[in-house]
Amino acid sequence: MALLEIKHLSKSYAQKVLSDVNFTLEAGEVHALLGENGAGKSTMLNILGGIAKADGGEILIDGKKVIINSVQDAKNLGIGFVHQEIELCQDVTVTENIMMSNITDSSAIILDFKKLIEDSKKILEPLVGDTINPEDKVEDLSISEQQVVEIAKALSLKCRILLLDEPTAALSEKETEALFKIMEQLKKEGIGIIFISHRMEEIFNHSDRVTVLRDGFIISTRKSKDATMQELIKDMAGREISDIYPPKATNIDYSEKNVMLKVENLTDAKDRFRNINFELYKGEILGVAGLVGAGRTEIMQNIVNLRKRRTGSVTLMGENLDKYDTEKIYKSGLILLSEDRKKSGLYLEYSIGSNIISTYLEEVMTGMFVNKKKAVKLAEGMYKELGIRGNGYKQAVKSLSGGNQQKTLLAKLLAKKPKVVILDEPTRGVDVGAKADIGNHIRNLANDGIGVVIISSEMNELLGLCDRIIMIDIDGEQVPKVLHSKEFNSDTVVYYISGAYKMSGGNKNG
Amino acid sequence: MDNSKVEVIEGKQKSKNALDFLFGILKQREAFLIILVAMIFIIMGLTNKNFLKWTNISTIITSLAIDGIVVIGMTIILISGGIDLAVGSTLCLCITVAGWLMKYAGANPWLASIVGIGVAALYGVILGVLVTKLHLTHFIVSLCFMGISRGLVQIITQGQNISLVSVLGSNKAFAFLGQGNINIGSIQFPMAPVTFIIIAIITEIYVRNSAGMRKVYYTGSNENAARYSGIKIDKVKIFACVACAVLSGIAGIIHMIRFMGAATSAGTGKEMTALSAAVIGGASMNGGRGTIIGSILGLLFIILIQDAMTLSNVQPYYQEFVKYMIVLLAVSLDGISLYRANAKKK
Ligand SMILES: Nc1ncnc2c1ncn2[C@@H]1O[C@H](COP(=O)(O)OP(=O)(O)OP(=O)(O)O)[C@@H](O)[C@H]1O
Ligand SMILES: [Mg+2]
Repeated sequence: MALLEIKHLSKSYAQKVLSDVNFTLEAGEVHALLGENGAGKSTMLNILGGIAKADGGEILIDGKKVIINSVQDAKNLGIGFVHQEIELCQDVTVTENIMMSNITDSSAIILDFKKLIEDSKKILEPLVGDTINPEDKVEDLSISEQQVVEIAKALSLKCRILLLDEPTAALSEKETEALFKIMEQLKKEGIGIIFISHRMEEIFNHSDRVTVLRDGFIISTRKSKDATMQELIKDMAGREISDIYPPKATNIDYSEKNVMLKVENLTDAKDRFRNINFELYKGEILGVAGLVGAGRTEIMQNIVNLRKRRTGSVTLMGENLDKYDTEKIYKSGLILLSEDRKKSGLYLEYSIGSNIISTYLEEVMTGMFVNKKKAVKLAEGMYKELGIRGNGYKQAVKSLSGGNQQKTLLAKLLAKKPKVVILDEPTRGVDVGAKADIGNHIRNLANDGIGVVIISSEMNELLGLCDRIIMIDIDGEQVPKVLHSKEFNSDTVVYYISGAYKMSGGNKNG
Repeated sequence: MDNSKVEVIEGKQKSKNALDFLFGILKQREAFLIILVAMIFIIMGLTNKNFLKWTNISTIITSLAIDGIVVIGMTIILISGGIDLAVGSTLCLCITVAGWLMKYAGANPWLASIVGIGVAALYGVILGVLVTKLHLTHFIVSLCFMGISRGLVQIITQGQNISLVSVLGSNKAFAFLGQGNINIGSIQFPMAPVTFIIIAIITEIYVRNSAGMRKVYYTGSNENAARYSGIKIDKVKIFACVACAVLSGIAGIIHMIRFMGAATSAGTGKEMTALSAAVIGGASMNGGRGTIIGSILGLLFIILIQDAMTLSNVQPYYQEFVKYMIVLLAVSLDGISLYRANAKKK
């Protein structure tokens, strides 16, 4: 008998989101859930977690029918949930966030904080050792540490079923490894895990079965070890996607007059990185490789003056930007898409269209007023261009799936064509089909003469999309070598960004 | 990565310069306020011979007592992410009902007080329900009730203050609550602050340590996080509204006994005092932050400034201006220290 069985589950918001979904999870199994943005993956987990209500169908645990009407119900049934978006109490300590469910269930007048701290330490230990102090406030943690806290929070429940909605999207490599180890451990204890990720390697390496969901329908369920990439992608997209990445640029003119962005001698005021030098040429996509924590994000923030620098200067097509503030830099045509979707400002309550026009309002104004026609044209155009999947540009952003929010953010930033755009993790949490869409879009930008710099933690994306790659090693120093697309190879990149090249005297041997 | 970690740890252990040290203290809100309060005591004690006289001290602690109970309520509702602008009006409505019942209906003063506090609680429930079920904001609803409750007071009293001199005179036990003195050696320690201190200690322990109050913090800090942990956030918010309203009512009863009547203007301006005290004490209008001790120290600070100005013969016309300029300054310091902390993180 299956640990969890879902029968004929259906759910509609404005449109049908889940249709007749049948799904099983065995004890001690990791069952991956794969599907495009908006396919209904999170909705399915939300129903199991008591956050959304199903319209029809039933849920069985150990063969017995259960009713899940609230988070409390789910908790009582032993269901732990790591949500797609980080939702923590920022003003509250790590311990209290992790133990929140326990505290909630208690009616103590005087809580035993010492014990709570001990307990949370025990949960954190296998994930990150003692690098996170349980008595710190969450607001002092980095995004990836916050994601660790989210996971620890779910683990604090003595759960039998664990729901993981894109837990690795915001984790560093090390933390991701630690998570997979814990998942192995939990499997041994007989816990069933539903695991969502857009990273195919993770699915192949760490799940037992994989189910593909498309437009709310279950398309297929396979043993992960028998599945092939092609099959899965076809099931997800409903079409063959032969080339995820667009063709590379040919004949780029690497001469002085074609330099769009020049960064010289950039050193962080807080020493996160030192002496960064690179040029971006017209027509190319330049990748920046490095491990999470190498300081790539900080470098880009520094370029647009969001961080203080000790030395260095930045020139955009001959115009020196050093004295400009961020707003003026953006106005000059150099923009940064930041990695943190929530903070970088989507107006969640507003429609997709309103978000798209919001950055460059002057583009759609006639005199003092917003020109409705122009606004609709821009909004509709960008909506289509980026392949956002929803009920049209009038839908509120908060009701979009995570990946489609990310596309909206891109649409918003690219509503007016900049001279150079820096994209920090542009496809985080985005499905394969959409990755292809976004990749194509970025290539079109480059072909139109817009300079593109990309940071990505996904090696395949960097190798597939970029024309050249510069590398930052783990010490925050730039690797002297710049890779051209002919030399691309993931081993080479790892060799440099891990700092291994320093030990062997600067030459790669084998 | 390693670099920044080291830096943070070093920063915590030794402050590099005097400014860092100063802002370090600023972050320890309670310590900062204690220093401020101590400074006022020292300066006033040295320069003004009336300041340390028992009559003055006793005035200070009595007003601390009444406003303090209101501040506790305000702190709780702020932590939950709400605000109550009607604390003063609720206080007044509560004592008007209680006073009217005692004086004109001959009700037992204890019973009348409980009915008065019940009316306050009812307001709390209405506020909470409108906020959670109809999704109105605390600000708008309580702003309306600021007027509605005052209006009710006018209707009940026909604009006349209710004097309770005779009622209180014949109910010594009841009057003791707000007027009585406990003799400690040669000084007579007023009873009102004792009541307050008891309430303060109980709420402080409760707010700091109880599972129930932690839920209020979580709800105020991030509703979604709270909801995902199975907290019934509507219930929590209504609780905070009721707690605030009931505490305003209790403050009212002590106020009523102390001033031997229910004036139609009682409680005017208390929302300003309570709000500024709580914010100076570390509560945030965004919810999720604040402590009882901090808020009470914030209130003590405000009362001391007021008192110092009166003793120093600052013209009454200037007092309001100076008082709130200082509040603004204190809040700005807070902003600066937060800003510095954030800048450091980057
Ligand atoms: N609260 C809501 N109100 C209206 N529509 C919603 C709501 N939540 C989700 N939807 C819609 O339901 C569909 C499925 O969304 P869901 O979040 O389940 O997708 P997903 O498969 O998790 O995608 P992603 O990979 O992007 O996270 C989307 O079209 C989304 O717009
Ligand atoms: Mg999702």
